[in-house]
Amino acid sequence: MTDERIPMNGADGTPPDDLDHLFARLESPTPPAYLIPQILARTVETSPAAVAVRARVRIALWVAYGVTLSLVLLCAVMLGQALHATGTLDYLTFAWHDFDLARQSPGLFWNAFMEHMPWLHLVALVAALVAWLVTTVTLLRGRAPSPPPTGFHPQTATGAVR
Amino acid sequence: MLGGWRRRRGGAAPDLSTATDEALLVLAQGGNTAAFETLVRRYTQPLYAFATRILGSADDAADVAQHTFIQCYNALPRLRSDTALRPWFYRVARNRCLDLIRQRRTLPADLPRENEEELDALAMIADGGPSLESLAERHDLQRLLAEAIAGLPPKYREVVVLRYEGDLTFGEIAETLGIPENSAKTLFQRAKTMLRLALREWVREEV
Repeated sequence: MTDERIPMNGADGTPPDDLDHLFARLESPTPPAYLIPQILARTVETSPAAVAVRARVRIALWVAYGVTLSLVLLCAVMLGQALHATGTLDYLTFAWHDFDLARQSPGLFWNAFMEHMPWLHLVALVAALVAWLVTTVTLLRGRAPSPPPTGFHPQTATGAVR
Repeated sequence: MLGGWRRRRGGAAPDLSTATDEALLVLAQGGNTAAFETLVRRYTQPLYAFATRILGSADDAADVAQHTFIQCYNALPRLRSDTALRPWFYRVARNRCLDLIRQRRTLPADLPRENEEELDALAMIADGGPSLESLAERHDLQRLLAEAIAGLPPKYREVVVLRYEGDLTFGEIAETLGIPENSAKTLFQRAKTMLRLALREWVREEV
């Protein structure tokens, strides 16, 4: 049988009645073992300095995201212009429409393609794309974590467990 | 970080577990993480129990407790050092409970007997009935009590849980709910009438 707590008295300061005595036996729901370590991990174990550093890093990442996205767009436009200016676009269009000709003399086709391709612009676009992808993935990984009750290991969350 | 603090303070640190809430608040505001940790350890269980009774969900109750302490931690610099922390914690927890109830878009059903005049009349009958002592020996007492609380309309349930589960004074209940102290007492008395009537049903079943 549950031990009775000290019953609360009535609303007007009267002595506890039978209902008060009965509810003094009420057992409180026990919080899950992970809860306190999880709360500590999200409060005291996150120092203000660390929060400020994380905020600055996050701002820098968003700036990098904007810059790399702009670079991707710029490089894409420049590559398009270069493909058009060097005649590579016409060459590719021709090969697309008459693929048999390219298949008959692949060496010739490949050499002409390599010669006309604006490689610098292509490399610049690929580099900008990689940079944009890296910043996007980093931003996504740095999002605030959602509550992880399932599989949460309190002993790894804090060393402060008494 | 906490470990580092402990190493620095060595073994001669005061026992924070016996410190008052106000003292812990002042220490926590000064950057003492152990003081805040003591508050977390002191209030996690009561806040979790409160939220569980109000929401009926263990997962949501854990969310409420966590949210309350994160709110407190973020608000530390702005809190006045004489803030009564216990009602403050419960007020934040209650607001979070209300948010979660709104998100569910389903309010717990109210009992049909919420007419205040009718309740006052029923209180006369309920107070004169047989004692509830016989229920105390029932093996399913915990379930009966929990169901009786869960069956109360939300505004009465809050008062009962704060009083019986949180051991709050009526002044603290009033502060938590933002109502006058006399209203808190009236709500509690009416809630007791409802509880008594609900529990009497089980007493009658036993006889």
